[in-house]
Amino acid sequence: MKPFIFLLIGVSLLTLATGDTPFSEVMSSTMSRLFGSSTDWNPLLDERLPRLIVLICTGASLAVSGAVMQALFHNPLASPSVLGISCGGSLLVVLVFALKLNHLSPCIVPLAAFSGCLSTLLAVYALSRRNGRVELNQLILTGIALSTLLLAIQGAIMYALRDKWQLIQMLTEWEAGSTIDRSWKHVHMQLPLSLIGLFICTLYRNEIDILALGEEEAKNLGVEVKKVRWRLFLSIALLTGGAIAAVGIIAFFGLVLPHLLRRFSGPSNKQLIPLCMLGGSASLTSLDFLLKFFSIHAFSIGNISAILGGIFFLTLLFKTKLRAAC
Amino acid sequence: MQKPSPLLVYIFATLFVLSWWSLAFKEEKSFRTRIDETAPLTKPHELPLSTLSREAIEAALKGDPEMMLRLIQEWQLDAELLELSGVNPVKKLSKEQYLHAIALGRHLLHLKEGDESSQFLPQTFASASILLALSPHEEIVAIPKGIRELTTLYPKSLTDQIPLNAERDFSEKHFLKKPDIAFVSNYSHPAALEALKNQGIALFTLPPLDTVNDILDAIEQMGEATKHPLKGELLKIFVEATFLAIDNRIDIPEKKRVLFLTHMNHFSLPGKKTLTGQLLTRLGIPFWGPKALLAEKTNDWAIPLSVEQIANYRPDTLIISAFEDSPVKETFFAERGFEKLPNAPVFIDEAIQTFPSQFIALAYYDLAKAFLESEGKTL
Repeated sequence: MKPFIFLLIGVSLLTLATGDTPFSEVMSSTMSRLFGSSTDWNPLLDERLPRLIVLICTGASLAVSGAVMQALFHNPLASPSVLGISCGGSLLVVLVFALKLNHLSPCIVPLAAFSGCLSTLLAVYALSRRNGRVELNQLILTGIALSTLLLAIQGAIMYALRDKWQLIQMLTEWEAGSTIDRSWKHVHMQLPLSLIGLFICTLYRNEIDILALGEEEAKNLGVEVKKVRWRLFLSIALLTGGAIAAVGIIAFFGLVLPHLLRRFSGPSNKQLIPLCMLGGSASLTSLDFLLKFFSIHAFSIGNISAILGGIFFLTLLFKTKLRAAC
Repeated sequence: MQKPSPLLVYIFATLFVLSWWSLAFKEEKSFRTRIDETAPLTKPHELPLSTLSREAIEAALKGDPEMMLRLIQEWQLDAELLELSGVNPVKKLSKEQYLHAIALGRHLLHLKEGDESSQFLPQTFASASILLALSPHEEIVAIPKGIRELTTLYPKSLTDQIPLNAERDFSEKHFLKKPDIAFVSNYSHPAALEALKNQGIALFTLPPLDTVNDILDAIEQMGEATKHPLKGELLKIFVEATFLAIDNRIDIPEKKRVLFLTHMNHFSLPGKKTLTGQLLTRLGIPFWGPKALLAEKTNDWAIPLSVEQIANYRPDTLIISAFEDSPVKETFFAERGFEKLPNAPVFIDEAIQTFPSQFIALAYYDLAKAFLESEGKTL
């Protein structure tokens, strides 16, 4: 745990200290803003700090939601995208942008992302129920089918809007997951959702461990499976919706991070959940810092994360195949 | 650990989020307007020059020969008055060009140009825009869908008279209208070009419109191709005359620190080779953002600029080019609070800046007007 705390602190300080404005100037204007009467725009307080908070929230949210889903579905390949949760959120956000509802109030975007995530989850849940029971395999298959459908609808909307190239450019950037120009608006859009989501996951981390043993075992051990699962689903929707609203889509992060961090924490979710919060935040912040430091403007953090995640995913599959062959 | 009751958890969570959002997004401040009137921007002409009206220029660019003729005559007279009063240098049309324009205008007003009516299919924004100025709507088979949304330039009453869209989804309908020429460009979709060729429609490929001269040539070429050569020539001369008239009325001091930004989701500086970059250079602004950045990235179309870079640049004049419906005008600066900027930003319409057409003259007018407006003056 400690190395991740140090990494997060270190990279956070670097994020706050790095920029075009000379450090001394940043500090003096920050002091006069905090302790003086200045109301001037400040690079530290108005640009770097909100960006850092968004990065920390997004990293923690995606990693924790991935870890919870992998435990709930006893499937190492589970992540918010497997059940179509992020596709649902993404579709509603695209609709919000297409109908220009985001001009009404910034909170429409996280509301849409959360509603999309939750309604997809409910739809998947309802469609995969047989005789009052939910088979996890059926649940995952339904999720994949629904996410394919949602992606197709989103593709159709984007195609229909192809003439509105300004909107298409905006949606393309948002789909690519971008942390450029994050402000307090984005913090406010995401933070309340992330705080509640992370709180629920932390609160139920013992139950997640027991649920990972299987539904019957969990029931025998006194866990109210339906209730706990519903609340965890709700928290996943909150975490994923918040992240989608603030930075867009960052693929594979929720899948890869829990895998990597499990090597440090072991299989228990009691340690894994807090570690995912720290590790997720530290990794995403580091990635963003590297992009900023090397002035890589051509790619977004979502692009890089997806490429790295894809390579990791393939490596994982290849290793599994090799192990099976042996 | 004792778990709280379900109802309490849900109520608390919902209230927590809603109250957070209602507090955070309660109101959006409007940005301040601070106008510094100390630095003179225009040449101190005391002469009573003609009014440089945007509406009149726009009407002329839409193909009104009478308006083109009137404005060309007024501006030529203005230039002569300036010369007489000893202003140097004064830009104006050459005598041959001016007399040719007068002849063209009179010819167009009194004579009918060609009896033959042809049908045209403009596949690009530029060709549709020029065609709308040169040809009657009956000659235009279809227009690109996006052009219908630029209602400030192309009124609905005009575009509604051309019901078909130029997109290839309607290729069969296009074919039924039997267009004589399809105006395409080198970036047209290869499959669309193939389909047009297969339908036996002659293709007119517009050259890349990278400079003002390219646009002027395209106007002339399209005039020839559509059998409206006189109007094409007059429009070309009018665009040139507009540039000269604006040049005579604006002079930006070298020490002026100007920042010109394009906003499309993010802020960026238009590169040196963009049309806007060329117009800014012509206006007398060699650097419209951080000098090192513009000098280094000469081949870039757009140079992204962070909010921090904008705030640190501290321009005397800030101009933002954004689409009409862009939320940046209302929200962005209010949230960030650019208190360090000496002047409030002036917004101009990106739709006019971004599409290469005869409206390049209007783009130049908007840029010049924006600089003057930022100083509390008029063109």
